[in-house]
Amino acid sequence: MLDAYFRAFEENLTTGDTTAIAEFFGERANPAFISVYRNGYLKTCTDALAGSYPVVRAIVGDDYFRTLARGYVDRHPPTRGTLVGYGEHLADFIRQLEQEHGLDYLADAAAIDAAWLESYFAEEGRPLAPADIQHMGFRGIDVTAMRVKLTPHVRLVPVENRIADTWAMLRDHGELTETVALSKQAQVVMLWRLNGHIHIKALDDTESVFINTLAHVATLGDAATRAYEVDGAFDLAGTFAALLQNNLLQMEDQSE
Amino acid sequence: MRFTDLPDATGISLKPEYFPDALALKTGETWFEVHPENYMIGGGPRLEGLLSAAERFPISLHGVGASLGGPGLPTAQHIRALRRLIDLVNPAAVSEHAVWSRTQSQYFADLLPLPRTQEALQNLADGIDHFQNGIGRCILIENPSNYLPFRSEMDEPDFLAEVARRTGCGLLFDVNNLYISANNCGMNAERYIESLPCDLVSEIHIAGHTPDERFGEALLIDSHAAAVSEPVWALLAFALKHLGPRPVLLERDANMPPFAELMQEKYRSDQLQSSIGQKDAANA
Repeated sequence: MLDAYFRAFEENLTTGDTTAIAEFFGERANPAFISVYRNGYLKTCTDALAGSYPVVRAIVGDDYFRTLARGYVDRHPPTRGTLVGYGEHLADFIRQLEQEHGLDYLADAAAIDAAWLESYFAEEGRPLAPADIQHMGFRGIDVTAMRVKLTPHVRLVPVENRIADTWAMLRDHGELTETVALSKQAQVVMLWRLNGHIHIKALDDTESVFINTLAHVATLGDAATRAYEVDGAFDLAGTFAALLQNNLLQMEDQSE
Repeated sequence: MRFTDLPDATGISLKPEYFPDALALKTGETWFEVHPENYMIGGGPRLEGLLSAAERFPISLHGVGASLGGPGLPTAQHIRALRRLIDLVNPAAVSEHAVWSRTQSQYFADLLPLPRTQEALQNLADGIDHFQNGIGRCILIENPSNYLPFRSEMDEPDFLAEVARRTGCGLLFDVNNLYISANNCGMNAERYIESLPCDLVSEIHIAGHTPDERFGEALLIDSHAAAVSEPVWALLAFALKHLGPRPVLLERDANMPPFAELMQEKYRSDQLQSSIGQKDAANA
């Protein structure tokens, strides 16, 4: 009987059909009140997505966002016992609906929204400090042979449009505060957390090669070699210093 | 028997937007409750804020996502994440709900009611056993808000008390949930309270509710989006007289007011506890 109750309730929650669950109502039940559970489920999921994807919401407005979110909940219902991080397939879902909304940059915005949240909730890691590198130099350690990786809060997001500045403006202000021109050009956007705040930067091609190489664990020498293949004038010292100052690198063998 | 290390005073729901105000309070001025599901994360400012609070205030981890009475046991992933948080926070209490919220493939993000049958009772007891073994400690389970009655074989206080006896867990009595259930389903609230086993109830919750947009006052929703209503305050006084001093949590999860406004409600609850305690002492 209990299995049948769960199946009937699930059917009502997912389709709104009350036929099966009505068999379980008590004598004094108002059958119409059962709708509160389905409405609550859908609203909670939609609200969670709205909170996690503020830039997508700012771009499309509340009404279309609700439509989008409802479709997403039907297609990708939550599976874990928490809504923190729910929406992990939203960027792909939006991309599949491009003919409907006509916004080819919307999936990019969703991917960056998701990365913001992942970075915000990620472990701190054990970042290398500039002083660590200096100390290694004093001890005669070849820094370029060190195997390093990115700290856990770094996210690299490949996007199809130059959208990083627009995304940041919408994230900070909820609306565009100046005219922007979006152009179709693939790039990699990096997000990271420093002192509790999330930072965003669109990487140029050389930075992208250098940092992507480190993302898969490499020596600094290997990463630099690949970057120099793209641009012989690559500023290795400046880029390396910036990564250290922003807590973006840690040794390979250091646990997260 | 005490199932928690919370003080017999009023605590409040701690939200990230309250961190600066909350951390400015004097040590021991209150205790805080959080939903652990919002803190089962790797790190960052939200987790750091909770850990800072836990250094100076008792913390209650009040879960909403374990689905203790659902089809299938609480998941290993959920239990592992909660256990990690418990190790970090060292909470004074861990609690959950006598409800279900997920199937094998889907999480409904809501506190769904169970039919009060022997089969559902044993299923809930199995879920609580599994959960308590997994996290390595006893929990409290909370009475649900009922929006409509389902076919049942026993009253809710009997159902909850029997679950507690089978599992060794304690009970968390939510006054607002009872008020809502009484309104929506015709339960007798005072008789319900008198039926509660005093020795098992180790924490009380109060919160605000809102009328349903479509059905109005005939269907009250457990929204936690408003101040505590006067009838709920009256029911809290009745419960404290019957149960004696208990930790009371003022819950607020939506439509968040300024922190000072929430503290005013907390002081009202503290005052109520104190006045009932003094009367009891005078009558002793």
